[in-house]
Amino acid sequence: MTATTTERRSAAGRLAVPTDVRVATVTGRRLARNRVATGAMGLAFLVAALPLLFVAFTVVGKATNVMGWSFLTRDIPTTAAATELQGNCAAASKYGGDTAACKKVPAAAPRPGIGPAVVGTLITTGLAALLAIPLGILAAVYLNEYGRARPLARLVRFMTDVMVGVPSIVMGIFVYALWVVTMGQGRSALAASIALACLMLPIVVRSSEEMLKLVPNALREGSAALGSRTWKTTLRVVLPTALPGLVSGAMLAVARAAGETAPVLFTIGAAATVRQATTVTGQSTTLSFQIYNLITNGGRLSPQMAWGAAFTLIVLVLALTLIARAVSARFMMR
Amino acid sequence: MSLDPNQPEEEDPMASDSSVQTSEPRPAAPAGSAHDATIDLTGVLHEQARAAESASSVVFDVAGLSVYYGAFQAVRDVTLSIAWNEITAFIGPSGCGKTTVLRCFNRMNDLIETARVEGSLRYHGVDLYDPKVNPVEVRRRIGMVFQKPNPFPKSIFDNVAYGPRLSGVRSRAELEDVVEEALRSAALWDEVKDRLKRSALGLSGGQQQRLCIARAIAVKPEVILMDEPCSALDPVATLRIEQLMQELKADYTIIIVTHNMQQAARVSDRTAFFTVDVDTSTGDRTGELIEYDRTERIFSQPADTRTEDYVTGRFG
Repeated sequence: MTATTTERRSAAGRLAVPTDVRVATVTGRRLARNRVATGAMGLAFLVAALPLLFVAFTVVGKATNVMGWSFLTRDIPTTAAATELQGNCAAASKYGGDTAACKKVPAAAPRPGIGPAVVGTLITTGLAALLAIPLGILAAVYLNEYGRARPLARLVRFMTDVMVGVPSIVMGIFVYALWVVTMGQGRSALAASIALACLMLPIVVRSSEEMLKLVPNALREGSAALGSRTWKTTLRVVLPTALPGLVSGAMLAVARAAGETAPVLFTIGAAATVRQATTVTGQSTTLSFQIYNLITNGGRLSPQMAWGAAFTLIVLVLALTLIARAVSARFMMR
Repeated sequence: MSLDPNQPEEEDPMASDSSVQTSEPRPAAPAGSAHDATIDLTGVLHEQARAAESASSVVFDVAGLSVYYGAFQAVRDVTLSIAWNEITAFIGPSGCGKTTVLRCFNRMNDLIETARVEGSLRYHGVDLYDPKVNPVEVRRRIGMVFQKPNPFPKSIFDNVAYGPRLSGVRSRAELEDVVEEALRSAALWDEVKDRLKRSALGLSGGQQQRLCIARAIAVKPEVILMDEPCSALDPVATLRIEQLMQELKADYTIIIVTHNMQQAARVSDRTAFFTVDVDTSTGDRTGELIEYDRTERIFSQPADTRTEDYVTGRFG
């Protein structure tokens, strides 16, 4: 733009474009505003990413002390004292422990692990996923392919929305009261899975329904025009097309369930050895529950172990997500 | 106007049906009266088809067809007959109900919850809206090609094999034969034979539409409904589809909805002109059939002035 110093130029003046394309027509305040907005967006991104980076660095930094194959596979020490006394002769003599045996143990050697929690997390989360994902996807298929605006579908949709908002500890109490006490099933990995499944179900239903909505109607019509029934259209066209979205929705729910402590608190009981934790109907433990235990029992090594468990949990969820992505990518046809 | 030069100038077997009949629909036979025991549509349709083939060349017999979306009447009182192995074109301005009528022929309107159909639509004498008729079976027999190519996000092979698989064809060799035949009929085989396993979404728009035609003819329907099949395509791809329609005419009855009057004139044997009637008090726009005749008559000496105005470009 040629140097026009007057504040209010005529419309013709503002629309006049120089023939030389190298001359920028966007100048002055517009350019400044653009820079400010771009800067603000960059800053907002940094602010949003900062806590994430901080968490990642802290967890990794604190977990490296204890991390190792033995940490992941060894049994959990039954008491805080055991954690204290391991290789600590001063403490052993103070509490009247076996000082002779203590001296034979190298100071840095056998550290306790979180093996049962790793096994327990995989079992309970897997079981919860098995209960909630098929049910959730079927419910979403009903809502989007069959029910649409019918009264029952509206009711289910409303109830699901309510369920999303129910605090996780309430789910824990619910399953504890119904399954553990009233039905007399006792605490078990299964009881914890049911509580986690209750938590996952509404997430799976809503995310799956959104994904099914994204499948173009033209595909359903195309299939119907070939003489396909609705259920076959759903099975052969709609679900495969929505698969990547369904998988990521389900993974979101699994990640949420794997990290939940409250529903597990009253329902899972306790397990100290890997052998004990390898069960469905018996008592077990999970990583998130173990983190809570370790932090509250006040042992010397406990905080380090808690960080280790936290790191393990994050890696586990990340690995699950990556595997699911890879699997759905294989089935996706672009 | 380029019409098929081979079209014989013989006595038109449908002459009586092809005059304007919107004002006086023929009385429809009571639904299902002649076919009370016809729960198995398959056998009946075959029987009917064979009988019809020898008796007359009428595939569809529509009388007094009205379509409602809720309380709103979208199309009023359409009466026409569709002839065997001919291409029938539906033309008219936007919103005149051509597509709505077309979608009645394979009961696609059933998929729209509020849609309701009145009047009779007979396919070889069987009322398609008889409660005993299974709409899924109707759609198996009466294929459809849509305005926008809608291949499934599957491989080219799986797209064409979709229909045959629905009908229970499992053997790989048999499927391969069916797919090749369908792709050859749709003039697509040479372009895709080396990449049948690749995604159908990687094809061009014109190829996708021919794939959709191949997919439709793979289930060996008797009729193919085409809802503006070329509106999303460039002129070269359009020409290919039009040539394809001429080739398919030998084996299939085709009904095509088109906005393009030149296309109707080029490809069709008969043309139905629809227009929209606006109710001045309520503002409701209801489509109606104005004139249905042999294509050369519609474009050269239409009986109705509205048709003439439209085909000569004076309208709208």
